[in-house]
Amino acid sequence: MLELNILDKQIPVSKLLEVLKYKEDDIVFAAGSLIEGIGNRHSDLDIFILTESLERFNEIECEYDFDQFKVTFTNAYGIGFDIEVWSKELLLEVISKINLIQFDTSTRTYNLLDLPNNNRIEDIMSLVHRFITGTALYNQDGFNSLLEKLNLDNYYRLMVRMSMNEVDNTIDDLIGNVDKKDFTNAVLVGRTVLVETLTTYLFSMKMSLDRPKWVYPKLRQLAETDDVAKKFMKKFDEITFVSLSNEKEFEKNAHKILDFTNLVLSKIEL
Amino acid sequence: MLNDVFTKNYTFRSRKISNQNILFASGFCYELNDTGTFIWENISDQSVNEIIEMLAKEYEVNPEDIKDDVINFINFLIEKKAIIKDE
Repeated sequence: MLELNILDKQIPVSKLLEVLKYKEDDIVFAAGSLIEGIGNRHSDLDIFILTESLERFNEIECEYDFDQFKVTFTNAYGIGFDIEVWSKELLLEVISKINLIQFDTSTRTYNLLDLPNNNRIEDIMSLVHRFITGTALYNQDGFNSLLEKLNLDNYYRLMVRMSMNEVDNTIDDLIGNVDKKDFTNAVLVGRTVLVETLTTYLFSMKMSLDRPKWVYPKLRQLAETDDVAKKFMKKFDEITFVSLSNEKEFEKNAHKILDFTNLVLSKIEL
Repeated sequence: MLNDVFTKNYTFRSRKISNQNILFASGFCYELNDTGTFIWENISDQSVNEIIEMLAKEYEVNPEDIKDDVINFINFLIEKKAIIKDE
């Protein structure tokens, strides 16, 4: 019997599928931190149903009901399940748009991906992330066939550009605070810059993530086998997990954040 | 000059874009070649002399042969306020 091994629990996939209202031609997959091996006892298991028709799910009571996807929750085997239902057609359209991106143009990064109407880019890219890091539970062939369609190089390159844009936006605030000699706030803003910088680095190393909270566990995973990642993690620890007690120390820390960020980003090909 | 040590101006950033190393800051954008990138990456906390030695070792050339070029480039960075001489 096929089982999902989640923490110390074995969940029979067939039992799990029984509670889901999918149809024969749908695709069901599990994703999230528990599937990626970085979750904890309080993490939810995310189940995704890619359906031919969202209307099929109209009779199900959903906590969140959007045009392009629906979300509901349930509990089983002592684990909370988030169940998201998405249109398969929408994911196909997004995959096609990612594959067609021309990076050597002057198009602004956020305009490279011309998303279907009424979709937030964060939701869509989170779906793509969950999809490529997920595990098929039902219709493995359909899942694999969709996955094979996605140009992963384009996905990672797009995510590198998007996350580096975030760094460039936030780093201006950091520089502004240093200029103003507000070093305490500079360090606070700098912590965000550091996390965004490492997000960019992880994408450049073809590690996908969709939340800042997974940056450190993913970096730790990568550092187990990659010396550069190990060096970056050591530097990040030295800058972040340090006690700062006076303005001079805050100033020095803010400059260390800038140096480290610039070092990491200068190594990443755009 | 040879014993001077410089610190990067924190408003300057370098990025790899389409196989080009670009150094930029507000109102400034400059393409660095490989040696320029090497100097930029190693300029903090080292004397000009040390940078010349490192670069000569990296490219297996005589330090005397590259000294003037390195000094010219460092003068360019000073002029653009990309680096600041340590006191």
